[in-house]
Amino acid sequence: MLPLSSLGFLALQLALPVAMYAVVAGPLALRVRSMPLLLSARNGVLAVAALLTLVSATLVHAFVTHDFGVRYVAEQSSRDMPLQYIITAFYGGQAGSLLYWAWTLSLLSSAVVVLSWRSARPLMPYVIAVLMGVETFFLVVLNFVSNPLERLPFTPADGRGLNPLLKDPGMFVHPPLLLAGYMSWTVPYAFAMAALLSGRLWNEWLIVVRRWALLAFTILGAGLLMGSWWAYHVLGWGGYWGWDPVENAALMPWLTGTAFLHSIMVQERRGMLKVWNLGLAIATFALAIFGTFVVRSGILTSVHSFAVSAIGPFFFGFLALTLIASLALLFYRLPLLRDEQEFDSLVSRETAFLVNNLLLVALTFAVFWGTIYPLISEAVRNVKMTVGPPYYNQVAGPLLFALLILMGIAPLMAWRRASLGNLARSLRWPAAAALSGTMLAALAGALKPGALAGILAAVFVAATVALEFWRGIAVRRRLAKEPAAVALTRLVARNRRRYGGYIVHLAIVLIALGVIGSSFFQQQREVTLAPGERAQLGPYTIQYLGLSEYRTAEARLIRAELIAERDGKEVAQLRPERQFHKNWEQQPTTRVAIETLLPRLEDLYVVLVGWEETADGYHASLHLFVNPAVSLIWLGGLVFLVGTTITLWPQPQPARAVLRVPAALRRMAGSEA
Amino acid sequence: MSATSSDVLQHAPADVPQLTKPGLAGRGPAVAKIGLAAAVVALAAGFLIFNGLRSASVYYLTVSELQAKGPAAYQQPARVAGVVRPGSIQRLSGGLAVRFVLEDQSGAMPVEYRGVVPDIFGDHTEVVVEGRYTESGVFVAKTLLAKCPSRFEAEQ
Repeated sequence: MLPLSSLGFLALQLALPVAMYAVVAGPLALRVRSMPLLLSARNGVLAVAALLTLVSATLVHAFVTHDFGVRYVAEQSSRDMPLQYIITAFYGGQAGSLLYWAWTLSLLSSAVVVLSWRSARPLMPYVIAVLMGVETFFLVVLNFVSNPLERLPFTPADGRGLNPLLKDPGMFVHPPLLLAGYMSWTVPYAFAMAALLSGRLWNEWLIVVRRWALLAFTILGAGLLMGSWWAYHVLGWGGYWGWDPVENAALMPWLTGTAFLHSIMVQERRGMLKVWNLGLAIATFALAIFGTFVVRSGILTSVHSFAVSAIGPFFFGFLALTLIASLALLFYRLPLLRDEQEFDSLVSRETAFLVNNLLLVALTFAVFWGTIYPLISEAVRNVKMTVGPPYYNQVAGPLLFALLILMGIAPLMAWRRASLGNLARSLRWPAAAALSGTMLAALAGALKPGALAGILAAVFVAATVALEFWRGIAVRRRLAKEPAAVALTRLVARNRRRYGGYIVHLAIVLIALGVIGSSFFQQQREVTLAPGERAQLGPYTIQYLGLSEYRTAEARLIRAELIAERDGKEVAQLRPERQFHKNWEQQPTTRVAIETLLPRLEDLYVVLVGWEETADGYHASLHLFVNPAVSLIWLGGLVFLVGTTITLWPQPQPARAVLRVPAALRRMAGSEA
Repeated sequence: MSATSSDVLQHAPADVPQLTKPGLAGRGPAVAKIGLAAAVVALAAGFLIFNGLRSASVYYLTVSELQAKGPAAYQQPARVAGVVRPGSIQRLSGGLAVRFVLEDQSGAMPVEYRGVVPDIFGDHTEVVVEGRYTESGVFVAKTLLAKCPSRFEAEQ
């Protein structure tokens, strides 16, 4: 009997021609004005989703039944691997992660053709073509270069097992979120290209795309936060962000995507920045593909680029083709893209958005330049140079400061022309709050100029957001005579976009404060202690009690027992571990001990580095950190999700006029020259 | 071309006036000021990047490339990639320091490193060290990075 994976193998092959069919059938339907053909293209999208769901299901089945005849299963799992790690094994390797990308894209594409069918029917033929065009690329790679269901000529008795670094709850969440985040920027790109291809370049595509862009922003943002959380809790170097090429690659599309979400408001309200918005949609997609590619190719992590994996040229080719074709199309449509209005005043909401965009793009450029600097310096000067965290901190610090200040001022600025007098009056209270907050921080001992500037900016933003809420509530209380709590709920519920956005701004404030606290005021030291010995770090005395050994079914654990005291009182017990997993004894993993201590909001963070047997017992080498304010980052992450959820939640709308099918079809057909 | 003007009017939200002003000639003083502001932002960012690269970039070399530079490389900050020679790892002072030989196809040099050793460090590991090459031929590393943990693929 054929194994089930062969069925998946076939489905993967079949998905390719179906996706290609949809690429052709969509635009063709427009040309020959055939609604049935358009519907068949849409069904093609749904069929690709069904086929790839089947492919993914057979891969999961192969993992569950330990079918080591499938090469990918043999490489990524073993018989003694607990069932829950199958999820991580699925996308732990190259072929599986590409399948995950293609599969989630097919699901999201189905959601797009179903949910946006009515609101953007005239664009749909091209949206389908672009979405399935991207899908086709991934299916080509999956079928011909990196096939997760490829069978080995023999069936090994057991698999290699999963890398223990992947055996962590954090790994369940952040890689799939990051990959899905990259993937979901395909939708805004598809709408942008559809607008360009069809010549329907007014606000129609923007209004539909906002929600999809917001979704991508949310998923990628959550992925970045979860990735930082994982790095902090698992990797054991005391930090959460290292400006590693892989992190940078994920940050860049999020930055340009953030710029896009802000600048489309300017086009919506004022009909300006049209070319810029299309450019941002294209750039964000290109950066997302670059991110997917960087993670998998190793182009930036090796000293010399010959270590690039087999899929490297495919991704590079795809990226180059996408960029050239998109920009050529944008250029071709320039005559249709003249802005309807122009800037009226330097002091206005739209100018603030423009500067916000410039800062975000400059930051992206700085990160991009630093990330590819080794390649550039080698090409230009024939010597490979590289930059580390000092470069990024030096460049990003001032830009982020400027962004925060702008984030504080912009919501109080009027569209078109803000009166300076009014603006100054509105800014009085936030400015006062920011100054007192900074003073308090200085009195508490945060005496570093960079940190104080950051705190000033962060408190300023928080105060303007509070002011906006307070004003909104005051108006409702006065006009609708509502109690404060009701006024607040209704205010947010009826203006989800605006107040959800403010809540996201608050999340950024919390994250900024966490970053400032932990990067300016981290304390650390490395010590070797005999049992009973103590070490001092900041206000804490840490006593090492001894070492113990445990065994579980999967691993041998070495654990150090520690007690932390402050002013003679015990504040925490810490048990950092090293774990030696079966089959991976040469690669022990660290379990960091982290205790968040209130009221100072500091993390005590202890890593067990090593140990040595001596006459008086086991000496332990420890890396001790005091990380202030890191928990604010995770709190900010939660607030970020609350804010984006409010913004994404459908606003109950008064009965909407629905375009009738024949009219829509006429228009659709009429828009083709 | 494609869309008719009635299409445009049908689809545009009511509050956006569909006026199109003539080209550059009709632009107001605000546009010039905003252009200036944009230029200031771009210049400032460019300066930050330039300055950052000047002060914070280091050489990224293989072991043999570093050695080929000879005395010129002494005490220069550098980042060197190579493979850990099997059997060369000596752990010192209870695991907080390590000595090993970093090699590539045509060169090898001893490395001293004080600090936390990454989990996946061991024989044959690809590592990147950052620090200074000293006159004694020993590379004193301030950081030790093992091959990026984002690539979990088996080496075939």
